[in-house]
Amino acid sequence: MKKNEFLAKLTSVLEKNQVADAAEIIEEYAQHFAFKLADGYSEEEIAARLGDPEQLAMQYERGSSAATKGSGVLTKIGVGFADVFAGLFFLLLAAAGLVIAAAAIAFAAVGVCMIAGASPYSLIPSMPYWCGAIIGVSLVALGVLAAVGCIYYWALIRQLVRSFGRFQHNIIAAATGDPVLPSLPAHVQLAPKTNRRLRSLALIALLAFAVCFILAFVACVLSAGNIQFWHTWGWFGN
Amino acid sequence: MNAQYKKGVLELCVLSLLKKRDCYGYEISDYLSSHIDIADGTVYPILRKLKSDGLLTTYLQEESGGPPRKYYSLTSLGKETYEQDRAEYLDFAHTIEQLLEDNDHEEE
Repeated sequence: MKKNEFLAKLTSVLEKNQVADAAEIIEEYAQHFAFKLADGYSEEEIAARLGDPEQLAMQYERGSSAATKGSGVLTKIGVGFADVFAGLFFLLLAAAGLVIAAAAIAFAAVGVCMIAGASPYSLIPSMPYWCGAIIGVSLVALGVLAAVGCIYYWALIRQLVRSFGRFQHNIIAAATGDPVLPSLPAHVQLAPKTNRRLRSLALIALLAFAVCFILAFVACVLSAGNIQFWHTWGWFGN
Repeated sequence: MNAQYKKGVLELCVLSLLKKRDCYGYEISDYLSSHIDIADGTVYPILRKLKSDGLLTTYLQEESGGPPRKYYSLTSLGKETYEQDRAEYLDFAHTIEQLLEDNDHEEE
């Protein structure tokens, strides 16, 4: 088979299947011939090595007259409305995230004050220093635990927003005939190393919190000589 | 080897080549047919499909003494897909290798 015969067979099947940009496809094969001819191959050899032109043409996706590109105005308006609600929802989620972050900072701050033996504005109820210090350590651990939770939570929100963005992109792409991209997972995506580190940090913090909390309670009870030590120390007034 | 079987991994090979550098169509065809026993023409429909899936983009570049060449380049989606498919393929290939080896040992 000569070059012209090969290209003609290719063209006829491509046109029959209404493949888009047939001229561009044929140009690519014509260039293939040009390169191989320059290397000293004969047209017959090149055509034989390319494979059967009709079978090659069948590999291209058939075009259909129905799949024309639309503007998708209606879809865009609909997606815009959905965005208002989704936006409010994400705002709500983000607000909860701020609360967790604030709690983490507050726990850690009170814990540090108690370890340092300070009671700014006399906000921390009076108790023997060592009881306070152990409670302080448990509060710092609780702060770390809340901080890890906060990181996970933010990673989750971020992934939810990305996933929603991709979903939205695909809805519009489907309406306008643009390529649809693979959907993104809606769960936390962390590097395995970060994930492992955060998990062990959370476990250590949980353990430290539990142990110190129990220790602190026992220390307070022994020190006050009363299981309801807060009455002995007059925490809630007498 | 079975032709259907090869076709699935050709996409992965194309993405892997393009991850290193941008290439024009003939380069890719020449590279693949020198390593894998396939018809030279097979690669062009694959390039076309990868482009319409949004994994590749093309641009024209003038060459001295010849028509402009159409270069293929990986998009960020293409890079993402390559990393994912690569890991999946290697994992799959490893599993099959293990499975075949285990069965061979049982026979002995």
